[in-house]
Amino acid sequence: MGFEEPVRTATLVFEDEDYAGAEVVCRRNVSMGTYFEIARAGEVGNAEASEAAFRLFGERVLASWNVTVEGEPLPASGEGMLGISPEFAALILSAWTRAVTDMPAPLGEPSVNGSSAKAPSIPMEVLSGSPGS
Amino acid sequence: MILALCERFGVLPSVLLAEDVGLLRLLAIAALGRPPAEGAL
Repeated sequence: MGFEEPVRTATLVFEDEDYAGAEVVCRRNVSMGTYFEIARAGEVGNAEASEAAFRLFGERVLASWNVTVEGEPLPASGEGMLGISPEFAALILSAWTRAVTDMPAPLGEPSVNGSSAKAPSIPMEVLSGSPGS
Repeated sequence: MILALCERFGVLPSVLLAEDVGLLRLLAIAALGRPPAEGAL
Protein backbone atom coordinates (compact mmCIF):
# COMPACT_ATOMS: atom_id res chain seq x y z
CA MET A 1 0.00 0.00 0.00
CA GLY A 2 1.39 3.39 -0.94
CA PHE A 3 1.87 6.39 1.28
CA GLU A 4 0.59 9.78 0.35
CA GLU A 5 2.11 12.79 2.01
CA PRO A 6 -0.48 14.85 3.90
CA VAL A 7 -1.35 18.18 2.33
CA ARG A 8 -0.06 21.09 4.42
CA THR A 9 -1.97 24.29 3.90
CA ALA A 10 -1.69 27.95 4.80
CA THR A 11 -4.62 30.34 5.08
CA LEU A 12 -3.74 33.67 3.52
CA VAL A 13 -4.94 36.78 5.33
CA PHE A 14 -5.07 40.13 3.57
CA GLU A 15 -4.43 43.42 5.29
CA ASP A 16 -5.73 45.45 2.37
CA GLU A 17 -9.20 46.74 3.26
CA ASP A 18 -10.55 45.82 -0.16
CA TYR A 19 -9.83 42.16 0.44
CA ALA A 20 -10.50 41.94 4.18
CA GLY A 21 -12.57 38.85 4.90
CA ALA A 22 -11.18 36.84 2.00
CA GLU A 23 -9.95 33.43 3.09
CA VAL A 24 -7.66 31.73 0.65
CA VAL A 25 -6.31 28.33 1.63
CA CYS A 26 -3.22 27.25 -0.31
CA ARG A 27 -1.00 24.20 -0.34
CA ARG A 28 2.37 24.70 1.26
CA ASN A 29 4.04 21.49 0.23
CA VAL A 30 4.41 21.84 -3.49
CA SER A 31 7.52 20.99 -5.47
CA MET A 32 10.28 23.44 -6.24
CA GLY A 33 9.42 22.83 -9.90
CA THR A 34 5.88 24.15 -9.41
CA TYR A 35 7.18 27.11 -7.42
CA PHE A 36 9.68 28.10 -10.11
CA GLU A 37 7.13 27.57 -12.90
CA ILE A 38 4.72 29.97 -11.18
CA ALA A 39 7.47 32.43 -10.27
CA ARG A 40 8.90 32.46 -13.80
CA ALA A 41 5.50 32.98 -15.41
CA GLY A 42 4.76 35.79 -12.97
CA GLU A 43 8.08 37.51 -13.64
CA VAL A 44 7.66 37.84 -17.40
CA GLY A 45 5.06 40.55 -16.94
CA ASN A 46 2.91 40.07 -20.02
CA ALA A 47 -0.76 39.10 -19.91
CA GLU A 48 -0.23 35.64 -21.38
CA ALA A 49 2.42 34.71 -18.85
CA SER A 50 0.32 36.08 -16.00
CA GLU A 51 -2.62 34.02 -17.16
CA ALA A 52 -0.42 30.92 -17.21
CA ALA A 53 0.86 31.68 -13.71
CA PHE A 54 -2.64 32.26 -12.32
CA ARG A 55 -4.01 29.13 -13.96
CA LEU A 56 -1.12 26.99 -12.73
CA PHE A 57 -1.50 28.41 -9.24
CA GLY A 58 -5.22 27.62 -9.24
CA GLU A 59 -4.65 24.08 -10.42
CA ARG A 60 -1.70 23.08 -8.25
CA VAL A 61 -1.65 25.35 -5.20
CA LEU A 62 -5.10 26.73 -4.46
CA ALA A 63 -6.95 24.39 -2.08
CA SER A 64 -10.12 26.34 -1.21
CA TRP A 65 -11.43 29.87 -0.77
CA ASN A 66 -14.57 31.78 0.10
CA VAL A 67 -14.56 33.99 -2.98
CA THR A 68 -17.91 34.62 -4.63
CA VAL A 69 -18.92 36.54 -7.75
CA GLU A 70 -22.37 38.11 -7.62
CA GLY A 71 -23.22 35.80 -4.73
CA GLU A 72 -22.16 32.63 -6.51
CA PRO A 73 -19.15 30.73 -5.14
CA LEU A 74 -16.21 30.73 -7.49
CA PRO A 75 -14.46 27.36 -7.81
CA ALA A 76 -10.99 27.19 -6.28
CA SER A 77 -9.34 26.17 -9.53
CA GLY A 78 -7.37 27.51 -12.45
CA GLU A 79 -10.57 28.82 -14.02
CA GLY A 80 -11.54 30.38 -10.70
CA MET A 81 -8.23 32.25 -10.53
CA LEU A 82 -9.01 33.75 -13.92
CA GLY A 83 -12.41 34.86 -12.64
CA ILE A 84 -10.99 37.34 -10.13
CA SER A 85 -9.28 40.64 -10.82
CA PRO A 86 -5.59 40.51 -11.84
CA GLU A 87 -4.83 42.69 -8.82
CA PHE A 88 -6.37 40.20 -6.38
CA ALA A 89 -4.78 37.27 -8.20
CA ALA A 90 -1.35 38.92 -8.01
CA LEU A 91 -1.91 39.66 -4.32
CA ILE A 92 -2.72 35.99 -3.66
CA LEU A 93 0.39 34.83 -5.52
CA SER A 94 2.58 37.27 -3.67
CA ALA A 95 1.14 36.31 -0.26
CA TRP A 96 1.64 32.61 -1.01
CA THR A 97 5.23 33.19 -2.11
CA ARG A 98 5.91 34.88 1.22
CA ALA A 99 4.13 32.09 3.12
CA VAL A 100 6.31 29.36 1.62
CA THR A 101 9.64 31.15 1.72
CA ASP A 102 9.56 33.39 4.80
CA MET A 103 10.32 32.46 8.38
CA PRO A 104 7.56 30.60 10.24
CA ALA A 105 7.20 33.33 12.87
CA PRO A 106 8.90 36.61 13.70
CA LEU A 107 11.92 36.05 15.84
CA GLY A 108 11.81 39.51 17.41
CA GLU A 109 14.48 42.15 17.43
CA PRO A 110 17.93 40.76 16.64
CA SER A 111 20.62 41.05 19.27
CA VAL A 112 23.41 43.36 18.12
CA ASN A 113 26.42 42.20 20.09
CA GLY A 114 25.16 41.55 23.58
CA SER A 115 26.33 44.92 24.92
CA SER A 116 22.77 46.04 25.55
CA ALA A 117 21.89 42.87 27.44
CA LYS A 118 21.16 43.52 31.08
CA ALA A 119 23.20 41.53 33.52
CA PRO A 120 21.15 39.76 36.18
CA SER A 121 21.36 41.42 39.58
CA ILE A 122 23.27 39.44 42.16
CA PRO A 123 22.20 40.06 45.76
CA MET A 124 25.16 41.18 47.88
CA GLU A 125 25.57 41.94 51.52
CA VAL A 126 28.32 43.68 53.45
CA LEU A 127 30.39 41.21 55.43
CA SER A 128 30.90 42.15 59.02
CA GLY A 129 34.48 42.33 60.30
CA SER A 130 37.74 41.63 58.45
CA PRO A 131 38.86 38.12 57.38
CA GLY A 132 41.63 38.18 59.95
CA SER A 133 39.49 39.03 62.94
CA MET B 1 19.31 30.12 -8.98
CA ILE B 2 18.36 26.57 -9.97
CA LEU B 3 21.87 25.79 -11.22
CA ALA B 4 23.45 27.35 -8.14
CA LEU B 5 21.31 25.15 -5.92
CA CYS B 6 22.15 22.08 -7.99
CA GLU B 7 25.85 22.81 -7.55
CA ARG B 8 25.38 23.41 -3.84
CA PHE B 9 23.60 20.13 -3.21
CA GLY B 10 25.30 18.12 -5.94
CA VAL B 11 22.10 17.02 -7.64
CA LEU B 12 20.56 17.25 -11.09
CA PRO B 13 17.87 19.86 -11.74
CA SER B 14 15.27 17.08 -12.02
CA VAL B 15 15.99 16.07 -8.44
CA LEU B 16 16.03 19.64 -7.17
CA LEU B 17 12.74 20.54 -8.86
CA ALA B 18 11.05 17.53 -7.28
CA GLU B 19 12.07 18.71 -3.80
CA ASP B 20 9.52 20.37 -1.51
CA VAL B 21 9.41 24.15 -1.76
CA GLY B 22 10.09 24.21 2.00
CA LEU B 23 13.74 24.01 0.97
CA LEU B 24 13.55 27.71 0.13
CA ARG B 25 12.61 28.48 3.72
CA LEU B 26 15.56 26.41 4.91
CA LEU B 27 17.84 28.41 2.62
CA ALA B 28 16.43 31.68 4.00
CA ILE B 29 17.16 30.49 7.55
CA ALA B 30 20.69 29.43 6.54
CA ALA B 31 21.26 32.86 4.98
CA LEU B 32 20.43 34.48 8.33
CA GLY B 33 23.32 32.60 9.88
CA ARG B 34 25.84 33.92 7.39
CA PRO B 35 28.03 36.82 8.52
CA PRO B 36 27.06 40.11 6.86
CA ALA B 37 29.07 41.22 3.85
CA GLU B 38 32.05 43.48 4.52
CA GLY B 39 31.00 47.08 5.00
CA ALA B 40 27.47 46.15 5.99
CA LEU B 41 26.25 46.63 9.53
